[in-house]
Amino acid sequence: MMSADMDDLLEREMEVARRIQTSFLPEEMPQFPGWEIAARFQPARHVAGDFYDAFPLVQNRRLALVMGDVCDKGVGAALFMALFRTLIRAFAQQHYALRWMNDFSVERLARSVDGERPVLPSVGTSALRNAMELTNEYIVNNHGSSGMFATLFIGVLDPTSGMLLFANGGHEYPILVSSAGVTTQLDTTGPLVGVFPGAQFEIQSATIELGDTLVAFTDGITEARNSRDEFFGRERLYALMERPVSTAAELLDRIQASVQEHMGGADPSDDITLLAVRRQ
Amino acid sequence: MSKTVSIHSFRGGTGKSNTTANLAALIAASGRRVGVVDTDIASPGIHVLFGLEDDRMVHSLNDYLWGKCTIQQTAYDVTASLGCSVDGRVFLVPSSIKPGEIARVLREGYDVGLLNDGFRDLIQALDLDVLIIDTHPGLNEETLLSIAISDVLLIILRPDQQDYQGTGVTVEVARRLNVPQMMLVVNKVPAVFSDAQVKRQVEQAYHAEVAAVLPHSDEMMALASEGVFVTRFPDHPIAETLREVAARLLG
Repeated sequence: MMSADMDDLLEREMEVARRIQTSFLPEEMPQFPGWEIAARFQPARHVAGDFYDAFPLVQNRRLALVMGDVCDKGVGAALFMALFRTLIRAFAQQHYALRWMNDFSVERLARSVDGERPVLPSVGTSALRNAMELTNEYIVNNHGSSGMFATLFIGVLDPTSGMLLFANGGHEYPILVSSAGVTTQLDTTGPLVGVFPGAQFEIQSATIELGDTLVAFTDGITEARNSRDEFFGRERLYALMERPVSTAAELLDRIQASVQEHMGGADPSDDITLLAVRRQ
Repeated sequence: MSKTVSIHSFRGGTGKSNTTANLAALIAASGRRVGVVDTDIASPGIHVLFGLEDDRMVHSLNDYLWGKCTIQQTAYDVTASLGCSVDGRVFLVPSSIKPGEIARVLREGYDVGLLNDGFRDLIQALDLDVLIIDTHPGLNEETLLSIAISDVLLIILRPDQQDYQGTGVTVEVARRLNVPQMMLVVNKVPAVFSDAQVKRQVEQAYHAEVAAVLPHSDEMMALASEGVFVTRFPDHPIAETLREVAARLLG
């Protein structure tokens, strides 16, 4: 086969891979009254290791928000992206009887203050813990030798109250923006996912108030470089977020355009993914 | 400040649901608003004692867990079923008695946080003074969560070797979960046994207080769950003892 034919074949195959990968992203965002959810996805190559997801949990009483970044780029990362995304969805929607009782293991209780009552599961905490910890265990146990891992943020939002439970496995801190500017960074609560057997991820909470926007992103944003090799960085990102905005989509368009401008129109060297959730 | 009480027995047939209904009635008689939740999803039954017929059971705990209704919509005011005038109220959250719905919960499971949040919402919505959780025998998801959130755990057992061993498991779990108060009720005690001796032996075995030793009662058996014993036999010695237990729960 001629080299040009090979190139054509490869190009066609990569296009198929791109289409399949796109099918692993939500076709449309879940609709919850009073909330707007928007996302942007720009692979550095045909396919990417980045992914985002949003899906209802607990009979529509909660909304799961996911942002992940599999190490490396290209086909290998994309294959693992599909695996991570699938495991997260599956584990978040399974109920493992008494799994929450792991918190009451002899080891953990021994560390607790005498007489302290255990922290009990609230709606969504089991889903969150299952998605983080069981995905980690699956990757470690079945693909440990591949050396593949991901940074992963998962939030479980109560659309009624705006309460967001979250766990962050080494992912770029998502940001809460209010009219007063950037108010909260949703810090790391556990290690990279897929590296450490038995890794635990602390669950923390934040509240999205009326008019607030939660923005999650991958390092393709902050580490986008210009011709002088300067990173786009969090400072520029925060400045963009602090300007008034009327919709989540508008904010993401603004960020994406600014990153493109920073790169001087060059193709991104890393995948770029954004997810914004705005309480209207 | 409301109080949450779990009533549990490791084995079935101890009179757990009967004791729960009686204590609920006695607490309501003292003017309190009482909620009773049947978390015995696999084998529900306390609704019978409160005369809640299937056709009146529009919503059950199962419906709440499946997102079909709020927890408040599953609560039925069963005060009238007590058959006597009380100053307080009794609200019952029944579990479904339909085989398909029981099987579905067991098959699919549910987010256990729903129970935790549901109990809290129920106390608030109905302005409850006391929430009593009628648990499933043995240890399962609902039972462990109920024990873990309770201010008081009341364990029912019979003077029987199988009950003795199982009760040890529950006591151990309750201690690990740091339940603030734990009491035992020894039920269905044969007349040939000495109450004082039974009380002493059980307290020594578990290092926990025995709140009551209740004799086997033909009247209770003859009532056959067709009502709440203490309202039918208010002057019976068992009613008197249970009144003391109710006072302890409130105290």
